[in-house]
Amino acid sequence: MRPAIAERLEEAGKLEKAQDAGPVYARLCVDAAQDAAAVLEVAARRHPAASWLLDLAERHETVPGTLQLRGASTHASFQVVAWACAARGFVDALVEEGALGRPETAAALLAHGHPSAAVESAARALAANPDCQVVPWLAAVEGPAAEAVIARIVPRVRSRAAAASLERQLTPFPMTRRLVRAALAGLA
Amino acid sequence: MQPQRATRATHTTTTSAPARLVAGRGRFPWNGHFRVATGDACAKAWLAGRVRPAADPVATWKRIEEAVVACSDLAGTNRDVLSQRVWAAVSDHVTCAILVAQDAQGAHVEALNLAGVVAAGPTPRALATAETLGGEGLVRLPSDHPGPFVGWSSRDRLPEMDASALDHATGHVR
Repeated sequence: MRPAIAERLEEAGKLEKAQDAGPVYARLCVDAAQDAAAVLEVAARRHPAASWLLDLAERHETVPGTLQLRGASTHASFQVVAWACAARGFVDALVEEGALGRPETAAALLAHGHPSAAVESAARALAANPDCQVVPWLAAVEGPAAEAVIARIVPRVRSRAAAASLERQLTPFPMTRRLVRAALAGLA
Repeated sequence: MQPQRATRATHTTTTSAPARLVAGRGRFPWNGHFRVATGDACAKAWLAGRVRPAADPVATWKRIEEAVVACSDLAGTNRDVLSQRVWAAVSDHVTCAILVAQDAQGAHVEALNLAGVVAAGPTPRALATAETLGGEGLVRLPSDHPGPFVGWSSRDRLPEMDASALDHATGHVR
């Protein structure tokens, strides 16, 4: 990052105490040009739940939503951010950030009509965090129809730990549970 | 009732399930919802129920698992016995539910704490309303209709929904 932008980012921390943070970072993103992503990263860390971040992401981020999802990943607002990203159509970010190992990304995608992306995001979440509770979240969003979506996750599961975790979550979906048990037999 | 192939203690979660509930509202419209099928060659029962939702889907899922385990692999000499056993197994778990039970002599539908029930399918018609159901408790309904049977609770706020409307409300019924 250019020194001038870094200095202004430090100033932004002070400025946003006196005025709305959104316009401060919006201006800074424009001035930062190729360094806009670095500005967004700081903004997402400081304001993970801010709705204005979505607009900035759309204008300045290569994969819009990525930085906000990462910024919110340890924040209570993560679910809200995931839903906001899905509503804005930031599908690629929600798929990739499945690697955060949280179920909200897949659930948000499913809730907004992207079942294939939800499957991919859930598979990444399980790969990153085998204990990730994807089944309850997908079922809460989609109801009984979630079982068909969850069944599509099974062939993408590559680790025994993730398959075993999935199997434990599937008591109310016995058909898919049997599928996972069969898959488990083939996993090292 | 349409004839169903009798099997031992199998489960179904397909969209052709004989008993269904309408989705709730909000970000997690199906939070707390479950379906289970139980029974054996003598009688079969299908239940769609809703447990009290917790703050997050994972905590709710634990309640659902308990309800499903409680009424899995039940058996009865006829549909009346089986439905009694199903209600005994899930009554501590569910806030509302619809049950379809079937044996060689016929079938019946029962609603627990529901505000309305529709017999869906090719020629849908309202089977019960809040007035006829009385709002609470367990009610047995006439079942001279092929179904499937779709119920909703007062919390679902569907007072204007009739059979034809429900038939088109595919976003609410899975």
